[in-house]
Amino acid sequence: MEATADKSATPPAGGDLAGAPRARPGSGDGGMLGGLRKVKRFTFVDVVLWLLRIGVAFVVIGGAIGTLIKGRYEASQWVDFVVFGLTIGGVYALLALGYTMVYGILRQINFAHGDTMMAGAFSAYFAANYFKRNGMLESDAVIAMVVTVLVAMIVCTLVALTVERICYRPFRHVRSLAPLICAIGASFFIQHTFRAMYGSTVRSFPDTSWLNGDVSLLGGSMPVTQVLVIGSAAAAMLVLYLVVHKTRMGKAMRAVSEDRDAAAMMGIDINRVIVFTFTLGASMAGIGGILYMLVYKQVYFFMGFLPGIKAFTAAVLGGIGNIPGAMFGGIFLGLVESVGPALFLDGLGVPAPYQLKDAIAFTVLIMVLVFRPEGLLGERRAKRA
Amino acid sequence: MALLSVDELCVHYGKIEALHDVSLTVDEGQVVALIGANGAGKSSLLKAISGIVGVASGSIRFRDQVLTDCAPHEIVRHGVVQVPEGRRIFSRLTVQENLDMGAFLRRDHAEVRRDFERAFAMFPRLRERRNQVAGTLSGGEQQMLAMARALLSKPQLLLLDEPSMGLAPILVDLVFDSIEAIRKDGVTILLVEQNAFVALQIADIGYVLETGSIVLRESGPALLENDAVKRAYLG
Repeated sequence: MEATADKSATPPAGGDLAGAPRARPGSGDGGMLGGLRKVKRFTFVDVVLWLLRIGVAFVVIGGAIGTLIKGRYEASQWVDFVVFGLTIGGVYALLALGYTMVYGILRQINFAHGDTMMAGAFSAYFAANYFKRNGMLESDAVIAMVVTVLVAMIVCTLVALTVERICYRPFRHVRSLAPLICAIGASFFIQHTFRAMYGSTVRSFPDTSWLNGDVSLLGGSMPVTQVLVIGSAAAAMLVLYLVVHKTRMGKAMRAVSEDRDAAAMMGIDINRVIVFTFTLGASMAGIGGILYMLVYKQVYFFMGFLPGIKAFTAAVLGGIGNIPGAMFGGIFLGLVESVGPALFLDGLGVPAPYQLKDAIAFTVLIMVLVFRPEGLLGERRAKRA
Repeated sequence: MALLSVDELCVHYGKIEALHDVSLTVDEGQVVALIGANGAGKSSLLKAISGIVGVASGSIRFRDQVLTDCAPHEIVRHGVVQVPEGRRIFSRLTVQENLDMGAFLRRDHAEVRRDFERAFAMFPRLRERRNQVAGTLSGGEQQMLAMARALLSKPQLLLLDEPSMGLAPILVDLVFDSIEAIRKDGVTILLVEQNAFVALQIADIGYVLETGSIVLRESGPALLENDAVKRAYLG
């Protein structure tokens, strides 16, 4: 009763919101006037967009049919592709969370996030090597790995908080591109600092007995590494979800991302929430860095760049600012990247489809930006008063 | 001594002067209403008190605290809490989580639980919708949530910015009834309203703000009878 009284008597506030969806069906589908207007608005840009759509549909459908007819891959190979997609997708998801949470709070992209991950992977590499030398990596693997993960998380947090302090805090109250440009600068700075300190050789995570081999799971066998990576990524995301939804600071973070001033008026210290957000994102990047290193067995100064951009893509894909969106986007991107070359490109007769997996990832980014800029899960934007 | 005293306050947005030499006092236990046309600077004054906009000159004191250079969250800690214009509830959080944000600074958990009960007693609809996402509430319910949220931070001075905005008359009455109830609980209130008639009815003191300056200060009943006010704001 209260609700109806409220709506009918307040045209300025209620009418605006209620009126918008009502107007849409008339102009969108079926209505004579709407139809006419649509015809007139069919411009050159629309032609290009339709060509894009048709092109992508052709590659996806045509390629898939071609591949399936050729029948070059067995079922077990498809399973491998999917499992690898989940593995790398989990890593992208962990990294994407950092982008999306910082964006939610600051409305800024932290382009140094990939290099934060690299710093974490490097420190984990050194920690793991230390444990390798004293034998704990074999004898007390759990303790050694827990410490390694903690080292990575702490180093990532220190790097991220330094970036926040230098690149973002000074620009808090001005609207400008300066933080973004500063973060790109910081990204190069971190990369080249590591290059200067540790050279540009590619190192790899120390070999351990428990990381090699397969485990039998669900009737098939999977490499231990992939099971470990998928499991850790899922566990980390679950913990993050609980932190964001159940803790006092997590709730404050969501409140600030929705309405910073209103949150401040509730007594929430915005700076502390920002520090908390960067810490959470960096911790996820630390875990992600270790997992990435386990998957690709590579540690070098430039390793953060590509996964960083991919994770950013994943965040955009899920709807930047949206936490479940980042998780979904990461896994989706991992799957597309892993299954895509075989499924879509092989059937079209592309000679080396795997060389195009990055091209697929960025095609996804461009398509999302063109056709669905709010992302697949679409962030419900906060209303501004 | 006044609970809140604002002295010769000036606020600028770039080159535009929003408030010019505004002075105002609120005594403990009072309801003070600030009325004026759209754009007169009413909201700017509340935002300046809450620390959301910067102050060009002048001072804001609460008890013996100077608030002028405090960050917004410190001002809340001192006991000055605002229910902002347009309610500004966190629409993606649940009703319960919104209220948790109101109690963000408090560590006296037993007391907080009691205050939750009091808030739910004052606004029973909120109890029913406790686990609902706040964005799905009606306008009236959102206003109640915004007020309950502010009350949970245990304010000594409550700043209300346009609590009647966009509400049906029956809900306006309800909101103002709860403002009376809040006052009876010993909370001092500074109320900004365009709906001068309802505001002045419950106000001990009324101020009239015109283009950034205070032009009148009278008791609530006196302002209701004032010819100039009648013509300009009461129709």
